[in-house]
Amino acid sequence: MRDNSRACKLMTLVEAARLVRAGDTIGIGGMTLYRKPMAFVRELARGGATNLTLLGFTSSFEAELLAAAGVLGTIRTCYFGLEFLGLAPRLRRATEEGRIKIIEETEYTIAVGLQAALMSVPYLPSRDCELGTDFFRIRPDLKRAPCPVTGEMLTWFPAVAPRVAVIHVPMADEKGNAWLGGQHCVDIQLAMAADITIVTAERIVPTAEIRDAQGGAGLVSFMVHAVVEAPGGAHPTSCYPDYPVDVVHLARYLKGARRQETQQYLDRYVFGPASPAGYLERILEDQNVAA
Amino acid sequence: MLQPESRTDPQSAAPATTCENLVAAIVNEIEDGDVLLEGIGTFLPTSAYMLAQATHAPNSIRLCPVGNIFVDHGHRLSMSDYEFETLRRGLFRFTYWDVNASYLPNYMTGKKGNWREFLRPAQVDRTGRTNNVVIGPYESPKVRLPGAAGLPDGVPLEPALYMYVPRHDRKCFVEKLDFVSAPGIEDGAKPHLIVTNLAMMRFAPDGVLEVETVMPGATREEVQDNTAFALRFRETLVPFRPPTAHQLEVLRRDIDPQSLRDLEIYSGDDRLSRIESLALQEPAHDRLYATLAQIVERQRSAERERATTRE
Repeated sequence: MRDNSRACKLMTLVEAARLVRAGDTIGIGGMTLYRKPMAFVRELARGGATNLTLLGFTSSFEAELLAAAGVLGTIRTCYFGLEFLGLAPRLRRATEEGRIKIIEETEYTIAVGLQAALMSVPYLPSRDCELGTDFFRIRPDLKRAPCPVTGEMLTWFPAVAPRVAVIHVPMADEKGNAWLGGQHCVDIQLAMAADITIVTAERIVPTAEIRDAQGGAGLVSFMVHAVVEAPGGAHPTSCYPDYPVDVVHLARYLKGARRQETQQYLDRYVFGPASPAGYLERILEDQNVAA
Repeated sequence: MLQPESRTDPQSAAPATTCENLVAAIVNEIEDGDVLLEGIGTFLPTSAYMLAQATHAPNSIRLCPVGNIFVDHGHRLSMSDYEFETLRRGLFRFTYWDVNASYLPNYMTGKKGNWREFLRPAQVDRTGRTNNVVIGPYESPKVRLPGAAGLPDGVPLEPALYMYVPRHDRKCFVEKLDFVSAPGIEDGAKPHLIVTNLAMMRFAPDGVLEVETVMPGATREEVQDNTAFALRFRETLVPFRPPTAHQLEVLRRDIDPQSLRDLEIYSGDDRLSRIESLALQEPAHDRLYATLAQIVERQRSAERERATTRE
């Protein structure tokens, strides 16, 4: 049992990234291009993490960067891509060439699987999900089996949980109470299911501010092991209500990837800057670059 | 051939483009009061849903995966601001589990709400089975696609399936799928309608996919030539109902003045350059960089303060 009752769980990005061990399964919070813990992901890449399994409800630029930096061994997701911008090129290539293994998920294999883990049951059923598809062939742990009580045929989802969950939020207090802002995705399930939950936050605020924040669910201190102050830490994804997604940056990344310039990108934005503030300064320099 | 027109002047009475005809085909299927499910980053059907809300279907509600929220009116589409615009307008904010596990199975089985979703398949066969996972063998794919998201979960339960295909060709309409990520009519699913840039096709009562309408500018031969399996045509084809002048005006002026609906038929560098230049003009872009500048300034002044305290 991990002690999540400490009064102050603040630590640096570097310290928090060290909680991730080689071969870990890490669950990443947020949705597609929204509220991804990008500063943490950049630190993971810099710290030379290896052979990670990424469990993402939907995976986008965080998975692309981890794939490009060579730290990803396996990806478990039901969607990876950069939404309307297009496919995630390095991740796509690595999976096509078999360098990164895919465990094919659906929304329910993740959401219902997390719920099964939370309930400490091995499987949870649904009506006829995945019936008539090839998922039963590639996911032999997904089952069609009768209900043990009535005998009706059902689809059964296996429990799944990450060892570490990383969730970026607009604000948290130093105890780990955190406000999720607009989109909640499966973040509360992820935070509850993981052995270690790390919160990275735009701002560290007094508990009263969390209490007053309306219109959004959140995480309660006992769910959280570590809190990191990471302003701008979701860029280039968004952090509602603080800032929107950086579509221009992502479009330029994709254009660069078509010209085989991903390494230059990593050098400039991931390995080059000495700190997250240094990263943001490089982003600000780009503002004046013409299209 | 597909030639997405450059940005149309909303005031002009320019004829409907290919994508605008597709939008109209979707809008014409929507009934007032429908619950309309949005996909991820799919501007074409989303603009159609919003156009319907802004015109003949004001009581329809969109379920947006951005925030798992219900939105009861149409508004302006944008790339950078879509999340903010949508979240702000949501009736309530739910978790994924609330909407998709607690409420949604009931919607989809038809118990509550008239559910409608237009999905885009990468491949579809004559029985309405679809593939959004890989092109080529699963174990060694030629193209790894983004994945099927919730379609394998939802499609077996939905009372009627609607699809849209902005590029009707033999790569999409295939004889045999490379991977089945959602079932078709033979496995109990209920595919109903496929609208494309060339045709509208409906599953007839006997379960056969039937061409009902040939889209403006297309021919019967073109529809068949771009489909890898033999198509049945209705004895009397139904003429296409084009967008009205009012629909076009609302779409071009209020819902989608940037023509984001066209993004679904562009590809490659052109598409990225178009996204980049449109995004540079969005107000959200300036707001983003002003916020980032403030963050950097706060961090640097905190550093200076710490340095002073040490001295």
